Amino acid sequence: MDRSRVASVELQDSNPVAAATDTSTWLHHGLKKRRATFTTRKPVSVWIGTWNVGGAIPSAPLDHWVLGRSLAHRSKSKRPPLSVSTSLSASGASPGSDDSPDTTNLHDAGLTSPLVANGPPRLELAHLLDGSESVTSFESLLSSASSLDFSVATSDDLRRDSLASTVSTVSSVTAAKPPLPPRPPAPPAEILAFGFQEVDVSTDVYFAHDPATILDLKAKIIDGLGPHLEKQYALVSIKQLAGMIVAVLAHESVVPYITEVESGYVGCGIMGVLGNKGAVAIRFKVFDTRICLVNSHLAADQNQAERRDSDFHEICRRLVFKREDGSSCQTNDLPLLFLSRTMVFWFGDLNYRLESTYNDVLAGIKASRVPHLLQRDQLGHSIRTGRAFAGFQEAPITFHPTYKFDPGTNRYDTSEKQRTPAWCDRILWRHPTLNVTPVKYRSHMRYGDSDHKPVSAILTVETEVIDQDKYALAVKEVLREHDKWENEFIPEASVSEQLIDLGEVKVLKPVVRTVELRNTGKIPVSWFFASARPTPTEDDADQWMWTEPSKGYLEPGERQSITIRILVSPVAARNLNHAGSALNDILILRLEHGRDFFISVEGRWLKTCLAQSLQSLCDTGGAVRVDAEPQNGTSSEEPRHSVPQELQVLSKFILAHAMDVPARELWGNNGEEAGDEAMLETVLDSLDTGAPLDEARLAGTAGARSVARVMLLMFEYLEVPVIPDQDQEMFVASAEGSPMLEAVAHLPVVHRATLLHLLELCESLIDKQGPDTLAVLAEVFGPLVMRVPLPSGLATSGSISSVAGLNTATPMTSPSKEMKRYRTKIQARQLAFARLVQTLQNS
Amino acid sequence: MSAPQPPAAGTPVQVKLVLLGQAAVGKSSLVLRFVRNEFQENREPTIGAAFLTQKCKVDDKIVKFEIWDTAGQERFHSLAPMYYRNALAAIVVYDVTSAQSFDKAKSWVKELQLQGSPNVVIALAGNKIDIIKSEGEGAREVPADEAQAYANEAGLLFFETSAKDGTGVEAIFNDIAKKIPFEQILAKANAPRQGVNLHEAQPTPPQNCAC
Repeated sequence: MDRSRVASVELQDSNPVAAATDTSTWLHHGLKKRRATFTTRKPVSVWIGTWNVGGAIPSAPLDHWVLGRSLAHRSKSKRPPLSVSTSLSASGASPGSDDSPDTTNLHDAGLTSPLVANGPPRLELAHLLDGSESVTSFESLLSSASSLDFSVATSDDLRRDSLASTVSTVSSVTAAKPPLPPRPPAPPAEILAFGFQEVDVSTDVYFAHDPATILDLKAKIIDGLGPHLEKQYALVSIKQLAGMIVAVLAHESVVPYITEVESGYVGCGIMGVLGNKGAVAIRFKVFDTRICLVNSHLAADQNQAERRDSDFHEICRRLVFKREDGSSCQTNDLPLLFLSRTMVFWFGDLNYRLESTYNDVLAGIKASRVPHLLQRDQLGHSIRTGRAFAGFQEAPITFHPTYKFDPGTNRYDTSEKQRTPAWCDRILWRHPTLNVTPVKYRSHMRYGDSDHKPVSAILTVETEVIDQDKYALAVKEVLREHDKWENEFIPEASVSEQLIDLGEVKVLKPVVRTVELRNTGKIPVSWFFASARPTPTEDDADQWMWTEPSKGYLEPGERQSITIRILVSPVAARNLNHAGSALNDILILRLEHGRDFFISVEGRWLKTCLAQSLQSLCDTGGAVRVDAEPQNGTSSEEPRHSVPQELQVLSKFILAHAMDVPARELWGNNGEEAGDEAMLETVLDSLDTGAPLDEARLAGTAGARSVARVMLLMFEYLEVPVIPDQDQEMFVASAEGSPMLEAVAHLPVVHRATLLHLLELCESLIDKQGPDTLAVLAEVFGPLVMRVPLPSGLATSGSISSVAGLNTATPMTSPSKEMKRYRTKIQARQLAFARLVQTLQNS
Repeated sequence: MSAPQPPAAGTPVQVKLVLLGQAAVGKSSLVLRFVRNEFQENREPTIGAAFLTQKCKVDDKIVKFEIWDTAGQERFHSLAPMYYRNALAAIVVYDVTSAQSFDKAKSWVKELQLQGSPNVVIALAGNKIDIIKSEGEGAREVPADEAQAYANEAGLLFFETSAKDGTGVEAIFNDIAKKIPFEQILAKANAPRQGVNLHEAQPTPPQNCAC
């Protein structure tokens, strides 16, 4: 046997299209649907033989079993087959039509072709039968029948060929031509599978194989093929479990297409695990179809049909395969029969019996009532009722029971036990889509070594061949289709506006816009506003835009109105004042697992005097929105004003119109009144554009309060407080009088002038409204000119609420240590402010 | 014997791909041609970033492109890093009839090479080649050899494409897929089960055996 070729079989692993299985389920599904587009079917002929050899390697040559004939060289020189006539008389049974290959052929043919069954060849058949085998006729029969080149499309063709040759053979015999010189035998099939049972029945074999057994058996098989054919076959694999041996050979024409050779075994005999019963199996791929060959020996005895059923299931459940290199296989993940694409051949001494009596069966055999006897077949019953071997098929049985014979004879059991003859030895197959066509199914009565007769089948098996190019195309198609689904079900939506023009935007003046989001896709959409900033903080003090809601969920077709609120706090204004006149941002509205929408929000920022620095306000000279004309060449060091013009305007108004409004009412936080916001805007507009305050509009307490509020805002949001942080402690520590004056002198010129301006205003108010006013003014202005940062955690979002409500120093939370410290600081500043006012009053 | 676990269904190797380039060079059209094999004249500009997926088979793997088609308008430039960050592949598109768009493409390439993923595979696509076919070389402002020389120098894949007639579109995605350093990705991800393995004959980790 060609060893190197065997090796090449085992190593070959180049088939690139295992792809059809085991991958993403959708891909698998799509390829399954398209399978016909990239596969073609190729018939492969398979010979399967099963033989319970009854305890020893058979002495008789295997040629007749495998080739359906005796090799010429041997039949002449060696032992003749059991004489048919002998067997007749010995058993008292009809010889059956089993032993002659032509008979089998005719039987076979007869099943499909009544013409042959009734035609003249039948007459000749009798002639052939009553003599010993005619080597010549078998030879020519076989050489033409099996010179069928292996690409024959169907077994019908096959049968026709063999029929034709039968006819010609017959006529040649009747013409009594001299025998032709023996021609070399043709290969019986591309794949040969041998299943032996009870090769060795010693108990030792449960624990250790005698390696000689396999060697002997291999030699026997090779010998059976004869010198001509043995060169054409390579051993794919041979496996043993106790007395069971399975061997697979492949013809050189298919060897290159055999890949992924694996084998496995299950023992389910004594104690449920020993190998006196069980199965040995070999599987491999031929072209692109996986073929699994299971040789099994199931539980014996007439009454053990249920046990045989359960042995079958046990083997299915426990059979796992290993590569020849020892690695395990992916397809082990499923029980054998769940592998829907695997072509399973199951054969062996399945041991199913006939539900009948010894005498009845013998009578049936004598009368050649095979179909009648088969009605009592336990295996047929198990298959029909689904108890075991569900879905398996078998070729029609036309031979007599193969069990149990008196060894060395064709006589059914004459011992005391008188076991009822049965078809114990069977060959079955199963595949959901690919066809298997039986060409022959027969017993070989000439073999007398055992109490079983060997059985063989020749089957034409459809296998699939995958066209690589078409396969690639199918993969592409499946991917494309899947992409189509996937993209179709990506969240999709539309927004009503992607450019929101806010127009002119002023400090503290709210703008509200809405955008509509509509789910235009086919699946629900989760959406949210994403931030382009790497670490967005919710409480950014300079935030000026809010979305409401900021996330949501829409079913297909649903709409959602999203409110976009713009409110520029003085803190936010500070950045905008620096940035120039453009106010813009891009909102990123993200659909989860889908697209992003950019919503550009643009406005023209109108500068404000709030949140400026005293220095810059003084430098500007005029109103902040009025572009100061560059003073030609006179970029003087001195600011144009030492007190911001805006403050001057405000205090002038208060001195002129608000002296009668009680200080607490004027500066205090008494809740909002209608019109306050509008009036506030009027005041700010006047200051920022340099227009005079609209005295008529601001008449009355409400107007005065608005003016006062703007003044407080100016102080609160100055970029640097009137008394800068580093100087505050000095003021807090200074006593009234000269220490305070010294501290004041320490301030930068603009700050000093502004402070004095405020103090003068206070002085005027106290003069007008009485000394009690001092406490109110100190309470309000102390923490403004000397700002104390709020305790951490109390910083209000965007300062909006504190600004809008002038809620400067009255946190509502229960006092904590931090809060107490904060209050102490506030009080110290209020007292310091009072001392400042008094110092001024006294100087 | 414990029953072996069935294998988890393989997942394709996910590759984030971003399209960059000046406005109106045809980024969205290239994607539309690739994904749906369609073309629309006078598309609305992309305001945002469109998201689509498309799979390719490369050798024994399936690559799933997660395509981010970005807005080309300059005012959205600052948002681009959101999209090219973590992108394993980028197609920088220019219009062969616009030298200006080629300059812009070069600046995108530079930005990507400075700030993109270290191993980002960049392809340069000179789009609208159909105009040259119909109107002649006179319409061209970016000579192919100049772009090719630039691509060689900068280590880019280069294609002239037409989203309108389909020229080069599939090739560009396929070639990108082939250039993706899968081994690195998979090693980095430390996830042994990424990527569909089209060969079932691959060795698998040992499983419990029957004996």
